[in-house]
Amino acid sequence: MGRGQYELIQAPTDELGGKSGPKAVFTARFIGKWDEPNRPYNVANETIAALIGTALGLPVAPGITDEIGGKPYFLSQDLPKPGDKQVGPQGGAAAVEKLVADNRLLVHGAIIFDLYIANNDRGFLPERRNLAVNNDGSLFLYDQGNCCFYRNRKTAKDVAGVPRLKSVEKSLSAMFDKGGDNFYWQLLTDVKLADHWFDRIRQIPDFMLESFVNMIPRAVNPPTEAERQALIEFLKKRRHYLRDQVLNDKTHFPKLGG
Amino acid sequence: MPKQDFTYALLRYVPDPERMEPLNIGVVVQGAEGMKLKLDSYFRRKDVDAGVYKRWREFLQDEVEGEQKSIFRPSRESADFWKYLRSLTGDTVTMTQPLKMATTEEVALERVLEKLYDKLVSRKEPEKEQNLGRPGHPAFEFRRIRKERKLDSRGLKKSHALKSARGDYLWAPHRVAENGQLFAVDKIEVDAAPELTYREIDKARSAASQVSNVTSIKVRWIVLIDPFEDDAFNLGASDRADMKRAFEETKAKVRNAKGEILSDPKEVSQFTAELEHCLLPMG
Repeated sequence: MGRGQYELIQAPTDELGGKSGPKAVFTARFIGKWDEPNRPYNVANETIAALIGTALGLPVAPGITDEIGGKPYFLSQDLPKPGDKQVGPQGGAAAVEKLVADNRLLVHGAIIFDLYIANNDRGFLPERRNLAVNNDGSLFLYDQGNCCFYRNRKTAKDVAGVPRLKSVEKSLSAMFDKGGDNFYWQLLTDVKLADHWFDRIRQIPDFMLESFVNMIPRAVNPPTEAERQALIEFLKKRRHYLRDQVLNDKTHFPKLGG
Repeated sequence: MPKQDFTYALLRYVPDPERMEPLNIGVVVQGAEGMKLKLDSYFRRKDVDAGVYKRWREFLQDEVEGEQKSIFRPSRESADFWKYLRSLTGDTVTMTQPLKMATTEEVALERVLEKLYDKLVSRKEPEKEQNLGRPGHPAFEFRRIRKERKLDSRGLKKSHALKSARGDYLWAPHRVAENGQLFAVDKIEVDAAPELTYREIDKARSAASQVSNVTSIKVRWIVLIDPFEDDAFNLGASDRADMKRAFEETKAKVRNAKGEILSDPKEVSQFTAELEHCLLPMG
């Protein structure tokens, strides 16, 4: 699985006599995201998505939360090495075609994951958004800031926070407020492959979802305590009804069959 | 007058994201005939990672001019293709927003590409042309005779694209003469900036493949190739070896394509005398 690269900054030494095994010091590069008025839940959304994605076994960019200069950040690990000034391209259309053909289960996983966390802006076309094809041909998912509590979008009358959770809970269509065809969703074609991920999501324990929401830094507010509880309930309930919502939605998943 | 619309974007390479000084490296043009890319093939600078640059070059060539058929790539005739391509560029290679241009007469996509490339990317400075080269070298001698004998004003064409019988663009030689017989002249000149010499090498290689593949036009292809001298370029040993190898490989390609290599001033003198018969008389 393609993860970020690391720069060794210290030769492996252990003056204590190797009791803790060989070790070395590395640096890695992170992209920081923070909250702003139109995106008041950025840090919360990113945090919960990275944790759930990782728990499901998907190649999600590893992330941490921290305060820098008194401001809370979600820090998502970036692919290039810290010292790399020049970075090569990611895989083109041919690489994506091969990846999708060779990794149908994984692609179904990414889509079901996005539907579970109500993340609506990943895609291949017309723009490649929030997914990358690494040089080794593997998939890499990043930037889930539009999931769960979402963001305020006046043009689409989207209100971030609990109203968003309620609207996507009520109808999957609420997720597709950005308009236009997103070819990404059309790659959801096989119910058996989708079921693999629906099952996995259904098996996420309650305590794990509670822990994940608790890992959203307390320094960010919103989400308030009540909103955090609403998110836990949303994620718990969604584990069980999501499959029916998806299978009954022929508009957005026209190719999903047998 | 017929009007043709084109959309184009400039590609830039950023060697150091902290300095944010982009270098223009190529142009992509979209027209009714499809899409074309011209990229500086031999982009040699100390601050440019040759391996990274090569990967970008291959990637862009594949995306813009490679096999079209892919459900993961918008049609190259569509506006969406620009969104797609922009989303795949990033910190190291950036692409401008697509820009519009129109011509009032029919112009081949390739010509538009060449003109935009010359205007936006090419680092060649025509006004300094007379300062390039070394006396006694074929390219220098050809330039000297061209000026002395006023060949350019007598019908020796610059920036003239050669086309196949079907009208497909082949390449635009350094100079072209046509009067009963078609002469195409290219050059590989030393004692200029290495990137200019590399560009001429690149052009000669491209022309060699066109000459080899297209039999529908009869062209006498002359390539003036300066001798490679070790002191000609301010290059390190490794880069000099690369350049020398490129010279030799290109010579072989020209020969294989039945091109005539002129590497001696006497040969140049004989050739220009012959060429003059195709041109308008002096005076």
